[in-house]
Amino acid sequence: MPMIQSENFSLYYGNKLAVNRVSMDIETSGVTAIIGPSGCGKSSFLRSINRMNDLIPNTRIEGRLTVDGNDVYDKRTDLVQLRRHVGMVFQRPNPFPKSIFDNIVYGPRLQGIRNRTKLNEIVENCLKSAALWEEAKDILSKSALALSGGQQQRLCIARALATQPRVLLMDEPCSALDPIATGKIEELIVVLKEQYTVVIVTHNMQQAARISDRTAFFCLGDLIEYNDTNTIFTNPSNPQTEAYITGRFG
Amino acid sequence: MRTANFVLFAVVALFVFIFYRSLPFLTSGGINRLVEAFTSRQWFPNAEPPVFGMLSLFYGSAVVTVIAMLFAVPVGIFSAVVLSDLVPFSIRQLFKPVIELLAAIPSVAFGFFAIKIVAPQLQESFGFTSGTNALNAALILAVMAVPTIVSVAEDAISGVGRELREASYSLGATRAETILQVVLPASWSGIAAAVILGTMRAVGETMVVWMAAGNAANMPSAWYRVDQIISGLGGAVRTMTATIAGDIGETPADSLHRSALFTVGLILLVFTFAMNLLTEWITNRNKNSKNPVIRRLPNFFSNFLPKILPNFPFYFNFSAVKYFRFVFDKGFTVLAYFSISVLFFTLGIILIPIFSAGMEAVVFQGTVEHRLFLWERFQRGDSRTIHKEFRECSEARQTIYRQLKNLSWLAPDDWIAEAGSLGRETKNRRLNRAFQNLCNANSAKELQTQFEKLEKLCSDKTEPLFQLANEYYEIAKDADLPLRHQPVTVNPDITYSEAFRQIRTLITGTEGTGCILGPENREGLEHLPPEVRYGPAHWTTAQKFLKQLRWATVWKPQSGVDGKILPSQKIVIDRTLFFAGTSIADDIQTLFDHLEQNADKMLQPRLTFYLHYFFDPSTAGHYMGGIAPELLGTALISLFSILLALPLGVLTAAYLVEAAKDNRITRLLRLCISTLAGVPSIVFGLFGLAVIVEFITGKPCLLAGTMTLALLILPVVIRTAEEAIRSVPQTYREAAAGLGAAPVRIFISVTLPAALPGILTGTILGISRAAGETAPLLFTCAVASGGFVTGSNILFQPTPVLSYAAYDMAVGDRLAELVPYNQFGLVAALVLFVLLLNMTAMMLRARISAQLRG
Repeated sequence: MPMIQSENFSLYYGNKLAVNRVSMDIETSGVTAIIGPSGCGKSSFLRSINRMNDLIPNTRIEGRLTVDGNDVYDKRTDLVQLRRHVGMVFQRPNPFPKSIFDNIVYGPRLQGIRNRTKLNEIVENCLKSAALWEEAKDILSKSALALSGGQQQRLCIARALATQPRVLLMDEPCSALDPIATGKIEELIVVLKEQYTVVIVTHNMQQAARISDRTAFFCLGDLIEYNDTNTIFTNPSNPQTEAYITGRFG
Repeated sequence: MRTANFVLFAVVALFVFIFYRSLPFLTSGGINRLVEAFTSRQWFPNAEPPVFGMLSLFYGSAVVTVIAMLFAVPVGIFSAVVLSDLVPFSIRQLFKPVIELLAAIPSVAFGFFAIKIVAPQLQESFGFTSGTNALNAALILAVMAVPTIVSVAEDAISGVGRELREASYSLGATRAETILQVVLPASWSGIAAAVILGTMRAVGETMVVWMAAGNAANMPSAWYRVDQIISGLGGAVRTMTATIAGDIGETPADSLHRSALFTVGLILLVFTFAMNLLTEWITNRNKNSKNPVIRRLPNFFSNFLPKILPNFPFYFNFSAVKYFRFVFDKGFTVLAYFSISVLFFTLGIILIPIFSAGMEAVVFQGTVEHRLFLWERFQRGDSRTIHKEFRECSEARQTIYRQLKNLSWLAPDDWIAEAGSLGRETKNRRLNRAFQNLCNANSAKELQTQFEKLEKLCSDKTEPLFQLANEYYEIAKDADLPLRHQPVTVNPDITYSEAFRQIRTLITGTEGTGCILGPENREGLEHLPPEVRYGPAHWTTAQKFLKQLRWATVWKPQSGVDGKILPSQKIVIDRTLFFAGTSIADDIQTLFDHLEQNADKMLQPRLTFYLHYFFDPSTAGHYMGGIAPELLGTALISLFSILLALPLGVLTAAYLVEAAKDNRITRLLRLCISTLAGVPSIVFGLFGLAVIVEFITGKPCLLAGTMTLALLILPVVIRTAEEAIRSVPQTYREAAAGLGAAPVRIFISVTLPAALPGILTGTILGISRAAGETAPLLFTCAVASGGFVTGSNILFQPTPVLSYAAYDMAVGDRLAELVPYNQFGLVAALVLFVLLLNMTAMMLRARISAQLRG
């Protein structure tokens, strides 16, 4: 059964339609990339999965969106639990102005974990999973803002992992990073997909081709094409997709 | 660009002159004097030798400020959180300007509210001996400081940005957790600045504490003990600012006392400077340090809860935790909304009575007397109608005057006085004595004899006196004459004669102030003050007098236990009871009944629109008439001061934006500007007195007030102008430079015109600030009431201004108490004036930012 399912899902900002009747199933395993030109609704769709759009006033949805069989927009949905299970990494690294340690244990602490050894364990595991342990293990009490951009982004990934999510949403996680840092994040994503369902929005088509298993192409709020990454990049069925990936528009 | 140095110069001059004037005090007694100032609680400047212990003044300032902040800081921060995180952006855009508007309300309006409304309430509800006490001042200061705190803290909290909030929410944090653990810690420097700013507003506030805190230098012996502080709240305290404001008028120019007051001002100045340094340090530390590590806020949930609950396995989602987090979140939200409701509710409570009672100065139930006054004094209204009305009323009054006349044997002294005022030919000593004997006759028989004696003495020449005697004889012959010297049963302090005079004074007012109807005969009364000549000028006042007539206030001394002296007890008695059981009980009862039944007819209350309130001068200390001289004074003084401040401010701003390098001098300049913005207004008043009045103008006058206020509004102008100049797109300047314009030319021809609307906003804000200030004008130009400033030497006359007149009416005499609508009317006019200016500035700013967005 797919991890995330959307059926005729639409999203409006006020009267402006941002996502138009999108239906797609995102499998539990592997990386799903969402590509498309600016303003095509790919970020909006991603942010609908953990309801981050709730923070924006006047948003309205239609249709249905489920994560692991649970209706995301059901009235009874516990937002706190939803977001715990659906982690998110943002476009620009946004560590809290706290120490590295405090950044990672932020989520677990909210859930009531206070045992120091337990927290230490979580920090170590998460930093290792995010491939930051070696660099950060000696400076855990230093401010997270002292890290470089790429390190900060990996810290944000580690922080998201600390709540033990099942899905990891990444909203253009490399767009603010240099090529070397980008490379490291990409390597990390390939490792992470073994354990988590990863959905990544990216501007960078090479990136989508390199790391994703399936790719969805959005344009002006519509889902144009959704298929295996190989198929999309080698043999797209829709001429619009082809025009975009060959660089003729977008 | 050298003008920028003016600001530096001004701040240095402020320090130097105030220090210079404190020198006589500081050097008068060597180190002992200083030790005494900082260790003694005795502030007895008029004793011999004088004692200047400032400790109780420091304590007064500290205690009202601390108590105020205990209320203001939580309410302010919670309200800021509501605006930034809880309500939609559109609502925030609506409420933020409203809060900024509230921060602009002149402090004298708050002080007025404190003594007129809060003080009686406190006295009644909590049984304080006086309602003007530390608690009152602290509460009002809290209300005043909140808008400032909200405004600054909200900027800081909004400035945290969406990214951090999203990070927290995406990790499954609730709103309360996000705000408490991420948003507030990340914006703490801004919040600290807001709290410091609020504190400085409270410490530097003069008018409110002067009016509300009671002004007696009290300090509990164990000032560090909370219970002592709390019990001291019901008593008066004296703050540093209020001491300066209250004492300086009574001190000779070169006295030690005045110098001591300058020392207090110097301490305030140094305190302001230190606070500004602290703010600077906090904000810079946060900005400059690359790795700010912010420790977690202590949080109920993460610190306390886990201790009482066992440790949870990582995955296990214990429902109690979930429940507590939910409740904590909702509780936080409720508390936050509660805070902002408290804020708006309180400000509503303050503004609504001021405006509703103030409205009565313009739209009210006017008596025929008032309409007559307006006609005779200002030729307003229709003469024929007014005089017709007045004639009709006079007819209705005749009964009252007749009844009074029939009872006038109760007051024989008045008859004697009237006889004395008759012509010279009757000034016959024997005749006069005979008349006195007649009036003092104490029985019907004696009256008969005395009247016959007098009749023999009379000739044709003395006919008027005989007429008078005859009149008296007719009235008195059937009366119960011995009654007049008997003490009143329910109030043994007075005799029946005096009790009757009280009634007659309240009705006709022949003896001085206040009355219901005024004298029967209006001819030849020009010498009487208007409040007597015109009776009650307002239906509200008339009703007050009717009540006073009906219900007498009697002070009963209480017998103390163990020789203690207790304050007399106030008792209210139905005045007819004074006469119950006497032979005249019925007559008095009829008089009262008639008066009450016909009060409407005799005074003819009618809805009156007196829009000329804003154009007429006043009479008898605002007893009647308008507020035009005050309006003119306020308008002139704020206009002139902005004319002085504007060029200096704009040039300084231009220098800061266009020419200043980021070096030590510029930083010092900025520090000076923020110091100038934070200096308590009373210190500007001191400066104005010490420098402008004494060296430049020689006496308090409009020019001195103008110059003082110009200095005070300079930082407002600089800041808004700087913002405006900075927001002119760089491309404009580059385009002009590309065409070969020199820097000065660029500024004058391109930047300045583009920044003009923003500068105009600053101008209006400056005017409104100047219009609302009271403290700096106390010693530099204000007079309580007076006519228009006129003539060619307009600058060298003192002038009435709205703010000071409002203060004067609030603390004013018995007369002012009679005209609450004029008291409130003055304050309402002032608040309206300031708020309208501010609203204009805000709309202008909204339009500019809309244009910049395109």
